[in-house]
Order: sequence, then structure tokens, then C-alpha cells
Amino acid sequence: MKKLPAIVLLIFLIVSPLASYGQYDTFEQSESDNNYAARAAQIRSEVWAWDIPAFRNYSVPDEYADESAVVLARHRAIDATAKKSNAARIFFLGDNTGKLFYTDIDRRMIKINDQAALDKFSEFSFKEESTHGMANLMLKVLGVRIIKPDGSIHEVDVSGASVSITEGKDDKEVYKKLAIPELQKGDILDWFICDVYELRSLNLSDQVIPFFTVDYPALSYSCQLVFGKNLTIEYRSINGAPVFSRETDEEGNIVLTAETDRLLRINDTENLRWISSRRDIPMMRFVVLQNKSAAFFKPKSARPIGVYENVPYEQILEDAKWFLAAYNFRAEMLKDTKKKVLETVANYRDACPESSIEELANIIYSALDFEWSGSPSFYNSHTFILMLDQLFKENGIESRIGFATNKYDARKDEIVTDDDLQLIILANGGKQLFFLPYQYMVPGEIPSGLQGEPATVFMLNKIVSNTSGKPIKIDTGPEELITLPQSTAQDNVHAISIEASVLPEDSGKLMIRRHSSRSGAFKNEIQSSLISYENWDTTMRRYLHIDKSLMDELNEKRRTRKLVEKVEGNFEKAREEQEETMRQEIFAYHKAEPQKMVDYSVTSFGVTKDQPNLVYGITYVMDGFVRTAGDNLILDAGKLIGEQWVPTDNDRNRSINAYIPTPRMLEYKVSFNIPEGYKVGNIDHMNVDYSNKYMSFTANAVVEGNTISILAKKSYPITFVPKDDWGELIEIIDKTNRFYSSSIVLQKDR
Amino acid sequence: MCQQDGIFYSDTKACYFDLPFTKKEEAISVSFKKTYNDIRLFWQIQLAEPQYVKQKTVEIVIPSWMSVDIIGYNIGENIRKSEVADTKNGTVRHIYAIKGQEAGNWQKDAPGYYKTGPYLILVPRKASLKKAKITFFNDFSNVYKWCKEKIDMTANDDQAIADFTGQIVPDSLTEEDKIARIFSWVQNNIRYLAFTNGLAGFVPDNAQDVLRKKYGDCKGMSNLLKTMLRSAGFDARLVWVGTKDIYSDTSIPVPAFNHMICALYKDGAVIYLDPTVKYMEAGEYHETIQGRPTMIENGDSYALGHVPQMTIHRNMDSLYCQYKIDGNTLAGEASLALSGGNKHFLLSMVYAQESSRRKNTLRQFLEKGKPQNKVSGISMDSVASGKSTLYINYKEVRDGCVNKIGDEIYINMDTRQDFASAKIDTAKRKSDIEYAYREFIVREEYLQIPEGYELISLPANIDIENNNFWVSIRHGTVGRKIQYRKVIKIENTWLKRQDFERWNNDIDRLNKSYRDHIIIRKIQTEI
Repeated sequence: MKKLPAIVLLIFLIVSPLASYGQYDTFEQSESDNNYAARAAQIRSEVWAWDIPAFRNYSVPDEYADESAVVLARHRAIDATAKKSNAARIFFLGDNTGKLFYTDIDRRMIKINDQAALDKFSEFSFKEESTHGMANLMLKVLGVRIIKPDGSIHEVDVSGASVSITEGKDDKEVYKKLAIPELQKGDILDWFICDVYELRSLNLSDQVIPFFTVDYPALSYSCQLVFGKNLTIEYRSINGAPVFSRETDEEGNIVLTAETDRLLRINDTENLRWISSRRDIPMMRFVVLQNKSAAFFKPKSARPIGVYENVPYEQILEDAKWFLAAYNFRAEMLKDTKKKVLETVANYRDACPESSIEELANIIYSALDFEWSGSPSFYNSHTFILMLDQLFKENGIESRIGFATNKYDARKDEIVTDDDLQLIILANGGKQLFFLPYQYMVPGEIPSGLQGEPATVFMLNKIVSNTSGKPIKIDTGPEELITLPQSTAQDNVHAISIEASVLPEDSGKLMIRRHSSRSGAFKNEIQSSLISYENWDTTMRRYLHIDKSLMDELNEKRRTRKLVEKVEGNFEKAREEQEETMRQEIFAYHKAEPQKMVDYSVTSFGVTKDQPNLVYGITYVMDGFVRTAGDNLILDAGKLIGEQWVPTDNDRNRSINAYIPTPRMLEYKVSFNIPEGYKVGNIDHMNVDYSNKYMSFTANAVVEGNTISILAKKSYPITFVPKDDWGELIEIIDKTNRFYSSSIVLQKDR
Repeated sequence: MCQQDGIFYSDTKACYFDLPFTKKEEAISVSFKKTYNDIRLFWQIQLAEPQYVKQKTVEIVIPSWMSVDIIGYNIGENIRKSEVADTKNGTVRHIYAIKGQEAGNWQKDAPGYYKTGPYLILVPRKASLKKAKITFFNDFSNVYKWCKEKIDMTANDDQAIADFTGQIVPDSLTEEDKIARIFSWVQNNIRYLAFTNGLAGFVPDNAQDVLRKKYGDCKGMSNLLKTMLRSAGFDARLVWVGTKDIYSDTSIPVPAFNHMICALYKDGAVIYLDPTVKYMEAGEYHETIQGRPTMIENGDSYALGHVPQMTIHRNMDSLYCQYKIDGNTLAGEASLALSGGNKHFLLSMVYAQESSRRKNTLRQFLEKGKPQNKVSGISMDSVASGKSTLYINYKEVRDGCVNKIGDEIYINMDTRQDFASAKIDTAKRKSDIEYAYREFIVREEYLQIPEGYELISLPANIDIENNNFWVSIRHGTVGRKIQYRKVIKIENTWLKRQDFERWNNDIDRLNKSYRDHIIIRKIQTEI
């Protein structure tokens, strides 16, 4: 054999690993299909051979006979090893890459009892192969078999029975669809999904093993996680999830196992409000990190290879600081943004030389928020906080950075990754708090999820980075653990003022002038749909004392001048859409279309510190609020407080705690003009006072001259409602609904 | 590939592109070419677009060796037709110049395009080539032959089907019971799965394959039903039908069919059976095929027919209630009878739910989502009863419809208030409206006048009649009971734009009636 020159051999060695992965793309279609089919068959045979007793028990206890479907057995098998052999890894990816292979098999055996379950489980969509990011492969195998009532097992030929959904000129397969043949009510569907990942540029940052069941009872749930010795694994069981037993196999891998037959059942999860899954639902969370690899940035505080249960908060906090520091070089690159903010601040100082240090902090935050919008995607939360910290300090404002938990995420002592922590800034000796911009948040407003949560704050003195931007030293001041303030119901108010009168030409119709003022969390419900970019831009420019309009700025440069016409067109379209948004607001309030919308106005958008509330008024005509009895009129006065929430059976039988975003209050001031020639027949029943620990509804109705005045107040003073007390909240909701159905008789003078 | 809602798989391909408009009144020109390899599949041209068309020209060039009829429908005065013969090329250009064409009917609940939009039907009759003469659709026998060739590609295993059918219909059953059981078995055990792929869009799946897979499209399900019925000794055939959304005229020989059902010849009558529709018995038809022309398989020949149009009384929604006043509520017992489209709608909704949620879904339907209504003690006929009318009995308590002032009580009997929200926003609604099915609604309610009270006044009776809507509301007394009877009929489901104003006025009248109350008063005892 002729010897190859050394240079050729070197090139071959360099490209060969890539070439072996490239095979998936370069294979002829038929060969690739054949490979996949053979390999998938191997995986299926391996999974069907699992020796788990629960998968051999086909009987359904009598108590579940009326259930739509019953999960007889479920097993999750996760394998994150670099060297351990398994069929998926060997067949799909070879065994010689040295990269992280992650196999996740989720097998379920479900008894199908009714048509709804049959419809739900009779079709699957899946993609056999995909890529994520740079060279991160994902392969998926579906295995399905049907166990008939006589015990016979029919395996579905997944490849043969599937159809390809294709796209483009070349009919490239996008995904596959499978309609399961032979499946009928009364059958048991035994199926699994196997995902195989080969990860070169990704860690698995946040994985979850749920220990609850949705919609159907589950009789047995087990899982086994095998972690290789070259990886860093961190995990934590929370909210009553089983404790995992831990063993080491003969190859030195760590094997975690758990099983349970008592799973929390939650129905209709999509429609249940106020859930905090990370604080209530049993689950095991884990991360798989390639901390040994030089290809990944890792904090100096990162744990070496090994398996760690319940990593302390302090260590993850340290990680979070290093991840923040890693973005310092990007923050340093955003010089133009910083320059614009400083110009705005300088203008403001000129215009308002007497402004306080607190007002200055608000202006800096708003100016940075204003410049940040529409910026490139690498302007992220870390760079925002770093730049805000810098700007504060450069303008003589004392600033500390902090990490806080969120009540819709993990508790402080149950966090698993730095992603569980949110960045905040404390300024001016802790008198002011600033958060990442969210929707149209006004400086100082605290996002609902962060209220009342703990945060660790510290002074960031200096970040030292090497020439490639990687942080090598962080100099911080002492840490302080604080609790973020909890807002009160008075901070989150929707104040509604209504003037209503019967139309002279039609006593069945009401003319309603409604004025709404929304503060705090109440703004978020409608602000994003009601406020256009133009509204926001104009309001922010006014607040920041920026004289130029957006159009002025676009016209200044040749590069942006061509955009003017398009932007004007978009603004015009948004203005037209605002009217429709107001109609939708009326529908949302009454759950009925107005007969006519007379006019509307928005007097404050609630996006700046000086005008923090969203304030608007609408005038419209509604039908169906006034009925007749002979010459008398019956006013459905209760309906004027707007449609109320009607709990479903599922809402009533809630099995988990409720986390209301913020304390809140709705205040109604209704004035109804009594038509001439009528007197009020009954009004005392409109005076109610319902209250308990979690909610209150009060109403006071009086006749004053020719006006019926109703002052009503609905309040949620507490945000956490334990599941055992949920009925107390529902009790007030039901009573409020009864008030909603109340009417007042207006008797004709005789 | 173009994926469509409700279709499991379709090989239809869509070529789409973004038009990069940057400002108002900008014009962009697009050209594309689409080739049909078989002229028999190119028999319709819609002339309207989803947007208003200022100007558009449709030009059809027909060579002299082709015989093609072009028939226009819903052609308004804004469309001018002309023909130009080109003797040099031996062609005739049929030109349709369209100006100011309104957008087609694409709003929700609009009638099918073919009811209102302008379109052309092309009938490719024949071609005379140098070497051959080809007949396409010279008459309907050609259409039948073309369709029949496709169903003849099916290879049913009659023996396997007969063996299975024998298991579910013992000889001891009557013929009617056998038909009902076979029909019901296919309806309830075969999942409908729309599947369009090349020839499979025309060729029914083999009966034994549908039976094994337990799913099929309309052709596969109808073919299985036909084969099962034939194996049980009945004369069953396949039927091509076009649903109400598409063009259909059996006097024009084009294959305007998009659905397949089954026909049973029995005792000199034809009974159509659509196995894709659940909760409808033999002899009941979904609104989408009622009255539609059919082409029935008949060996080398064919038969034309129509799916019967059911009377509105077969689409009944009838409520009977007996109330008494209990505090500030009306309390009583109710019986609801539903048939036809109403029964189909409710059962489809309830049985789409998981078993544990069905009762709640039914209760919410009966309470109409109003918190002031409380329904309990529900009993409903079994779906397997095979009755054409579904009965639901329940108890109810209705809050908010009784007002007591001094000695007087004001009562609103009709809390269901059918069509109260049916007013049309004429500013937004550009298309006609077509209601899902014709309706016959009856509300007959009785209220016991409490002891010591007398009737003072009843709301006025009303009668409304227009092209679409017939309403009668009557109040009266029967002994010590107040009787409320409302009948609403919708015979014509197609509500045209020019009738919107009258419709809205009629809904206003109806709502005014709903607002009015009965007055009873405590009897004054003379001292």
C-alpha cells in the first residue's frame, strides 16, 4: 500500500470526526431510512424487554372504572453517560465521540376507557431527527404497541404506518404523523418516546422529572437516572417528590432510582389560575453539566465532576455572580447606548437642575429602558443590570446588585441553577429598587412574582477579565439578605367610576360612561394591547425631556430616512386598532358587545414615574341591563360591576395552593340617573358585606335625589391561599356573583 | 405540503410567498404558473379574491381541437365577457374582464363561496387529436365512468368482512335491527380520519384494511359499511355527494363531489347512510348533505338522486318546564328534547369530553354559563338508545328572575333568551351569514301562581316573520298556572346582507319581549 504523506494524514485526522457526524446529512435517503428503521427496531426491542412488574399488570382497580383513561404504569429512563453502552447511543451515534450523550425514554401504559381518550391517544406527531445549535443532534424513536382485552399484544409498525409531512421544493420531511391502527376503547396503549441527544455545545440546564399526573390517575411511576462519572450532576427533589436512592454501578456511574404509586393528580392544568408549580408540585429537578470540558464557560465556583444532591443556595449564588461577570465584556461594548443615555441624562439635568438623586435614578433607569428597546438580541438581562449599575455609579448614585427568587419559581433554599435567580438593583442606600424592564413597568414598581421574596444584594466593585473577556476575578462588597417589599391592595387598584342613564328613546338601553384608573399589577392586564409603540415612545420622550420626535430622528440620517413612511403607516394602523381594543375592553368587562361605542380617551398610559397609572374613559350603549314589568323598570344594577369569575367544578375542587400575583382591590363607584317619573322600589338588598381572611366584597347602595349611588369594593388582601382554605375564597366569589345578579326595581309614579 | 385543519394527511401542495409591502398604495407584481396534468381536475375558476379587486382579467384559451363549455355563475354586471377567435393559432380566447369585485365570502359562518361568489365551471367535453379522439365529460356517464374506475381499484375481502359481520349481527335479528347495528358499529368503532393522497383521494381503502386499522376516511368508512351490509344480504352501494359548501349541479357533467356515503336500497326506497357522522340514526342526515344531489353506484350504469331534506321538526330543541316561586328564585323541573342537528351538536360536545367531565359539560350547557342558574339531578338518555330524539330531564333553580316589591312580584319566565345576542354588527359584517342548521325551538313553561296571589299583567304576545325567522311568543293562563310558550323557526339558514337591518330590528323586538315581566300581586283581603 502506498504510504500517504504526513500532511494528508493530519487533515484526515482533523476532519474525520466531523465527517462521521456528517453522515446523517450525506446519506442517500433510502440508506438513511434503512439505518433509522434498523436502529429504531433495536431500541424498541430493548424497551419492550424492560423487566418492570408494573408493565405486566393490566388490571384496573374498580375505583377507576369510570375514568376516561388510567395510566397503569409509567417509567422514565434517563442515561447521561459518556461511556456506558446502550442501544440508542451505539446505533445512532457510535461509541467513540467522547461527547455528552443523553438518552431520555418515557414509557407509558394507558388503559383507554372512552372516546375522548381514544381521540387523544390515537395520533402522534414526531420528528425522527433534528439539530439544535452547533452540532447538537437529537433523534427520536417512537414505540407503540396495543394490548387487547384478551391479553394479546400487537406492536404497531411505526415506520410503515406513519406518513411524512414535507415542505419545500424537495419535499424535505418536516415531521411524521402516525394514526395508530387497531386501537379501540378498552385497549391498553403501551408506548414510549425515546429522545437521544448528542450535545457538543450545550449543557442540559434544567431538567424535570414530574411526580404528578394530569387528568388521569396513575397507578405506578418509576424512574432510573444513570449519570456518567465524567459529568457534573446536580439534583433536588422538591414538594414531596420521592427521595432518590443512590448506587454506583460496576462502571462507576451513579444510578438514582425512585418509584411511587401515589401521585398528585391535577385536572385541567391549562385553566387553573394562580399555580406556582415549583413551589407546589412534586418534582425532581436536575442539571447535567460538562464542567470537565474546556468548550464551556463555567463559573470558578462550579462543582467538579460528580453527583451532588441539594447544592446550597450560597454556592449557586456564587455561580450566578460569575455568570453575571461573564457578560461584563458585552456591557463594555455597548458604548453607543451608554452615550445616548448619558446625553439624555445631561439634558434632563439641564432642564431640571433641582431634581433629587432619587429622581435622577428614575431618569437613568427610564433612559436606559428607552434606549434598550429594539436593540440587538445580545442586549440581555445581565448586560442591562451591569450597565445600569455602571450608570448609577458614574452619576454618583449608590448602587448594589442583587439576586432574588420569584414566587412562581423555586424557593430560596430549593434553587437548582442560577436561572432560578433574578437580577435586581438597590439604589440610594436601599431606598429605591430597580428591576429588569417588563412590559411598561414604571421605575420602582416591583414585579408581582418578586414581591415579598428574599434577595441577596452586594456592591459590585470590580470585574477583572482576561484578554478574551473571560472573568478571572470579581471584587464585591459584603452580602446582605433582604426581603423585597410586598405591595398592598392599595398599591394595585382598579378604580372604576360609572355614570349610567336610560336612553330617552329606548328604556331598554343604558348609556354608560365608564372611567377606569389602573395602578400596579392591574395595568398589565390591558396595557400591552392598549398602548401602541407610538404612545409609549411619545410619552417616554416627554418624560425624559427629549425634544426630538422619532420621526425627527429617522429623518436626520439618510440610512433611516427611508423608514419614515413605513413607520408612519404602522403608527396609523395601530391607531385604528386602538379603537377595536377599546371595544374588546368593553366586551371583557361585560362579556357582551356594546350596542354602540360613542367615544373613548386614554389620558395616562401609566408608563412613567410622573404618570404611573393607566387612565382611560369609554362611553358606550349597552342593551339588556334594563327590563320592564308593566310600567315599572327593573335595572340589573349588579351587572354594572362587570362580569365576575364563575368557578368551574374543577376550580372548586382545587388540589393545590393558590399564589395570587399581588394583593389587589377593585373599587366601583356607580351613579345611575333615575328616569323622571320613577321611584326606587327596593335597594336594601344591594347593601352587602361579605368578607373573610382571603377576600372581601362590600357594597353600599343609596338613593340620593334622582341618583342611585352604589359604592362597591372587592379586595384580595392576601396573595397565598392554601388549598385547604380555597373554599373560603370561593365562598366570597359565589356571594359576589349573587350580587352581580341583583336588580333594582324602579316603580312608575302613579 | 399544505396542512389543513381537520385533515390528517393531504398531499396538497401550496406555494406561498411574502409580499414585502413597505408603504401604502405600493404595488407589487407577482407571476406564477400552475400546470394541471389532467384537464378533468381543472373544472372550476373562482373569480373573486379574498381582497377587493380593482381590476382583473381571466383569459381562457381553448384550442380548436378541444371542446370545452364554460358556464358562468353569479356573474354580476361588473364582469364583462368577450370571445376572440385567433384563426392563425386555431384558438378561441374567452376573456372575463372584472372590475370592482368585492372580496369573496370568507368571514366566519359565511355561506360557501359557490352560493354568492362569481365563478366559472369548465366542462371539458372532448378532444379531437390527429391520432385519437378523447372523450372527457361529454355527459354524466363519462363522469360516472371516471369515478367508478377509481372505486373499482378497491379490493375488498368479502369473506373476511362477512365473517366479521356475522359476529355482530346474528341471524335472529330483524332486518331493521341488522341495519341499525351494522351502521352503528361503523359509526362508533371506526375513527374518521381525513386522508388525501394522490389516487387515495379517489379510491376507497379496502374494507378489510379499514376494519383492521379501525380508522378510515369517508370513502373507506362507506366502503366498509357497504361491504358489511352486502355481506348481511342487503343491497348497499357507494354514493358520491357534494356537501353544501361546494358547487353541485347534476345537469352539468363534472365530478363536483367531495364526500362519499352509502346508499341502502330497501323495499323500493333509498336510505342514505353517512358513517362519518356520529349520533345520527339511519334516516337522519347531517345538514351539510341534506338536499344535495347524489350519484349512486349502479354497475356500469348509475343513478342520480338527492339526499332528503329533513323538515325542521327533525331539528327540534324543545324545553318543557314547570316552575314555582321559591324565595327570589324560580325553581322547577325541566325536560329538554333535542333531535337532528341539535342532538348531534350536544352529543358531539359532551362525548368529546373525558367521562369525568361530561356531567359538568352538560350542566354548563343547561345553565348556559350563567352563575345565577343552578341545574341538578340531570338524567339523559343513553346514546346507545337509538332514539331519534334525545331527552334530558333535570331540576333547576334560577336566581335573578324574580323581584318582590311590596305586594307585587315581577317574574321573567324566559331565562334562556334564545337569539338575544344575535344582532349583527353591520359595520364589521361584510358577508352573508349561514346558520349551521335549520331550527325548530319550542319553550313551553308553566308557573304556579302562589296561594294568596293573583295575576295582574302578562307581557304582550309577539309575532315576527321574515325570510329567515319565525317567532311566536304567547302568554296565558291554564287554571292557576301561567303559561309561556315560545316557538322559533329558522327555515332558511341563509341570511343575506340586505336583510341584516330587518333581522336586527326583529332581534330588538325579541329582546324587548324578553325584557318584559309578568306581575302578580298579593290578594287584598277586605276587612
